Amino acid sequence: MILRLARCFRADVIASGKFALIWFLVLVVFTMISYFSHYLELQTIAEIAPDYQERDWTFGDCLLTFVQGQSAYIPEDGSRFQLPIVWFMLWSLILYGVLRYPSESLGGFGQLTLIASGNFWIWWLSKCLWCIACVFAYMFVIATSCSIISFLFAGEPSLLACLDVPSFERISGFDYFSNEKFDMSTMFIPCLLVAASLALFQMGVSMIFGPMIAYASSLSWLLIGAYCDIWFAIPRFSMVVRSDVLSASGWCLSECIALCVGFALASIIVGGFMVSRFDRLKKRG
Amino acid sequence: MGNLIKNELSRAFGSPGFFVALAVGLVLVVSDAVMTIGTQHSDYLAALEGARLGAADGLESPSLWSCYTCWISVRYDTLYATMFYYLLPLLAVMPFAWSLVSERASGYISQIYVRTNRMSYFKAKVCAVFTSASSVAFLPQLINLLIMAAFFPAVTPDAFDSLYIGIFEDNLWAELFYSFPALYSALYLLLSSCLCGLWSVLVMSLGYITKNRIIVLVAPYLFLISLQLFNERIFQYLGGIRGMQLSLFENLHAYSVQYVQSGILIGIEMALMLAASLCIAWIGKREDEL
Repeated sequence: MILRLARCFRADVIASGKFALIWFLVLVVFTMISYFSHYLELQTIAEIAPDYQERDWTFGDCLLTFVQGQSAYIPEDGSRFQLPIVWFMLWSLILYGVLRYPSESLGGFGQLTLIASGNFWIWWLSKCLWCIACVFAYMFVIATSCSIISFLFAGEPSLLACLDVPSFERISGFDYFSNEKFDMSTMFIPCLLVAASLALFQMGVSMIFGPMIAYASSLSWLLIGAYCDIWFAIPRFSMVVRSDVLSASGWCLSECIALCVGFALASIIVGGFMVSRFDRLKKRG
Repeated sequence: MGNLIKNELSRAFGSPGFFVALAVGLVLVVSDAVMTIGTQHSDYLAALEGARLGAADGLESPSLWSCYTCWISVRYDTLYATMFYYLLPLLAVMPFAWSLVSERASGYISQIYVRTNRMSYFKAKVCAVFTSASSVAFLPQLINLLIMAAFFPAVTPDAFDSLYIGIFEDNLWAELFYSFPALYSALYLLLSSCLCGLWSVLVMSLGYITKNRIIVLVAPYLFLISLQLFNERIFQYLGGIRGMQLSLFENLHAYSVQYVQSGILIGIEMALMLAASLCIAWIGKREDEL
């Protein structure tokens, strides 16, 4: 069984390899553009804020650009919700990277793989493994790109990020120039878990309702996560500013692990049972 | 040509995608209405009661609770409003923008091409895609306005309340909002419908370039997010330049979050979308589909 699962997984990796390589490049370009825009933002802040202190940038600062996020929105007259666009784009790109292949693999060569696997559940588990491996690979590419960029900008190889440079709006709002440090290594597990659970959820929905509705559902989930702090809004676990280190009512690691693993397992089991009922080989014409 | 348009329109408005997109849009705007009424209606009744008793709070302007100020496009502060406007470009392409790419992939288009003129077919498709996408944007927003009108009075908003409402003098058509709010709402309904319609036509015409349905429908959405990122950052770096709203997400609703909307810029955006669609179609229709 394990051998058949490994063969199925290998077939998935080979079949989706070309697109994954293209998407690696897209993510590298996105990482570079986002960090460059962040760097320009820092330069502009340095010009307009006289008490701003020049300091060395670290690998952690580079990672913080992408997973900083923002606090939950509280509606007030005269202010409106503004989406953390770099964070939103990062997740939109990662989720698009695993959107196409599973639904496309239900036709052509994918059907032969399904027949050759001999058991639907082996085929389904290999798809789930592929999905998790793919998003982990995308995260690895982003982290590697960040390390290269921080090296190019003569940054320190440290995972400690300084929480003083979020965005322009915060100049007047918060204790902006604090020297508080955040250890970015604490974000690795939450980000990987969020990526895996979102990707598995999207794949399950994609197999049942189609890729368009699956992508719209994932985006809705991201928007809910960005807007508020509801317990099921899993994407909030990938935001540094919502963690219990920075916010009294923030999320903690145990909560993140329990919810993400729960949603991932639910997506695998419910998705598997739902898809297993379909006529995947179009036997009824 | 008439039969072609009729046929394409019936396919567009009868497609499951149209009903799904419309249903999602309606659920979001009705949820927004319920939430806004839940938070605002009691305040409105309290202010009315205060005014009747002559209490100090009675001095609050009733225009703060006008159906025009509570409309989703102007208020834009609930989770459902955010989700509606961020998902709208995706919902707009669901009804029929996929048709060209599917017809090319299945070979159906070659059957059409031997029976009719290619340009006539493209025009009929544009007509169907534009109207179906516009309807997905138009109807939910109109229904939200009607629900608001059932709970709040159609009072003309007071310019003194602009601080709370968020529509300032440099906003697009702001003078209309504080003088003829019904016309302002109608114009924004038309603007968002036209933007969605043109966006959908552009997405549909991408079907001439590739035969992959997911790329055609979803990849342009990633471009919109990139444009939003570019829009949020570029004016900060240029320093001292008055920023303009380029992002389609932000031009779909009346309240502008970061920069003010420009009528000229929106016009240019619409012209660009139309020109790009026509260019792609002109190149694509020369391809040998037979």
